[in-house]
Amino acid sequence: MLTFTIRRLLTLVPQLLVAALVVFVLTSLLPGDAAIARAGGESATPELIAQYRAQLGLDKPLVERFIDFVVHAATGDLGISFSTSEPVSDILLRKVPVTLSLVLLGFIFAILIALPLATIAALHPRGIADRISLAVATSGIAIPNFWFAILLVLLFSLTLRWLPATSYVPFSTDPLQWFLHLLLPAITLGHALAAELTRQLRASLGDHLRRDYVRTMRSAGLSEISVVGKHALRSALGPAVTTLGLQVPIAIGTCVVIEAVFDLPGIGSQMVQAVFSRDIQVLQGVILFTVLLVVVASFLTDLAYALINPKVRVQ
Amino acid sequence: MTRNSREESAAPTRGDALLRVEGFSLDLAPGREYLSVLNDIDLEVRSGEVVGLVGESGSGKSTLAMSLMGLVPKRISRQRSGRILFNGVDVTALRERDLRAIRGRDVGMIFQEPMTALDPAYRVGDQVAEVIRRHRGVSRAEARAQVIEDFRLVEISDPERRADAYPHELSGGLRQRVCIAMAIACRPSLLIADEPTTALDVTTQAQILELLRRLRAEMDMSIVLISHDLAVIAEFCDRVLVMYAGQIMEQAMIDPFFVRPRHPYASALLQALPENQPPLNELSVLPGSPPPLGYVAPGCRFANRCEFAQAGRCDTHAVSLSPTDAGEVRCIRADELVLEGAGQ
Ligand SMILES: Nc1ncnc2c1ncn2[C@@H]1O[C@H](COP(=O)(O)OP(=O)(O)OP(=O)(O)O)[C@@H](O)[C@H]1O
Ligand SMILES: [Mg+2]
Repeated sequence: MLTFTIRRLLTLVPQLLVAALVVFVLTSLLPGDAAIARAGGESATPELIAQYRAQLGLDKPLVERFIDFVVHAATGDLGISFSTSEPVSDILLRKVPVTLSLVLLGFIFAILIALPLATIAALHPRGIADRISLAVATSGIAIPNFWFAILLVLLFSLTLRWLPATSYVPFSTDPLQWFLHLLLPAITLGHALAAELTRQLRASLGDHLRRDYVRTMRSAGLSEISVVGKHALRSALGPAVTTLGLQVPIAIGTCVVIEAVFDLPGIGSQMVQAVFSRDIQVLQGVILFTVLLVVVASFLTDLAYALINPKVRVQ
Repeated sequence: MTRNSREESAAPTRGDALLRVEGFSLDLAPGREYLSVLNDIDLEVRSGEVVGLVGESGSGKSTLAMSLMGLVPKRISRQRSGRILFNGVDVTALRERDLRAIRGRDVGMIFQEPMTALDPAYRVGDQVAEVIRRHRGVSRAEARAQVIEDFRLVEISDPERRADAYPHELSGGLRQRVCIAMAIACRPSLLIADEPTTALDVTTQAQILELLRRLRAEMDMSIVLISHDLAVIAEFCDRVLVMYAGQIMEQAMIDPFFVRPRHPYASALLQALPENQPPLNELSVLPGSPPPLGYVAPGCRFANRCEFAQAGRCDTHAVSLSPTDAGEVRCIRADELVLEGAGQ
């Protein structure tokens, strides 16, 4: 297991380098540049634009700019925002916890919904839980997130007045308020993620319950809790874990919408803002962070998968 | 086998009925409709006895084996009649919790596919230990010691290392030995083996059968051996049950059965055995195919494939088991016919 972890860790380096290159190239290709934006739009004099270009280092060759970018990024220096002159790393430090909290809670909700529902559904095919799980899977895919979010706000914030509809309270300030403020957004995200997870888990657990080893365990007199919980579910979690890993990028995309609806100062809303103000420096930082998140998630996925499935470890 | 009304004692001595199935019928619902899969099954396994169960694929052997310990899912099955008495207790009337206490402790089971019969996610030793702990409530260390001892018993070399292996690290033969170790871990009085050697190569097959034979002698347990290989049955069993389309067609002591089978189907099976040749799994000599699942012929179920069938006699009334010198047979012409056995 240790050698597997180390081997898998080593693959992270090239992955991140390639990711950095893609991020850099993409943001460089963005139409319009920050110098024009700074100089006051297309109508500014060419001299002024050139002056800003030089100041921002945009006149250097691309290769040089990329090397600068990687070296600086590796040391935590992501440049300075073109529009607010604030260091990008400071902006990220402020916004990343919001999105991370949301994604984390969202996944917890997704698992809390999917795991029991899928288990009961798989144990009683065509039963009530099976139908509910199908309904969850369908609604999670069919109902747009913003619409679901608005429904939640209408019900729990405006009608029942149980939960706040907007803004964010840091965990360090007040854990309870942090949780309450994130509850509706996290349910929105969890509902979206639970759809695929429930469907996947239901199918793979159903499959494993028909396997020969389950028959062996039952014929040996083991309890259903052990047969299902310890044996079948463990193997069935393999594909589900993979699904979870693949959903991290989707979750981040969903965060853009959810943060907008609930007015959360997270990475998603920052990304939108950066695009509109042509703030390439910030955009690079934001995207780099999301890529990092995805790469780390896939690393953790592989690790979890290897923990579940001993066959993977030897390969 | 004649039915007697004697009460079974809780702890049968050698020769008493350990397991007795009486008029057991079961329907399965693969789709929406229930179809008859087992019909009026009567059988008896005495303690210390090895009983073979043969029949074509789909005749219901595995379903019967699973029924013996209430392992056919209730959701898709319906018992129409009968009782299954194990140690005098009707298994079909037991609650799931009581059944679970018997399974693995008093009755061990092994199956055809050693490749998939163990959980790929756990070390094989831990899986056997879990069964031991479930029934004996011993500590981890004690269970582990017992596992090593049992692995030695089933002739797994280097048991300490093998116990820490995952199923995919072991060969088919070793895995089947692990399954056997799990099945006998609690020293059951009955072992149900559903085609335990079918998936193995010939050499391994012989070794596994030899192992079962030794274990049976050492532990004095009864064995129900399911196989569609009559050569295996001949070598291994005291008595044989022949199944066809969900019914027992004949049951007899092994030696008389091979010389003089009483049922035309049993005779056809025996003649399909090529002499001095590896046994065939396909019963190619017998023309036609068994009736589809759930189809119940008005008369004898084998009549349409039987070369001795008489119109008006065999296809009108359902046939019941009647006693013979060596056992029982389900054929109204049994007394008129002299049928050929194995090795002309
Ligand atoms: N879980 C199930 N659901 C529906 N039908 C089943 C189920 N198990 C068995 N059957 C059907 O019951 C019949 C008897 O099957 P069974 O497996 O008992 O036969 P078998 O004699 O063991 O055959 P084989 O030699 O192939 O193992 C078959 O027609 C099979 O299709
Ligand atoms: Mg079978």
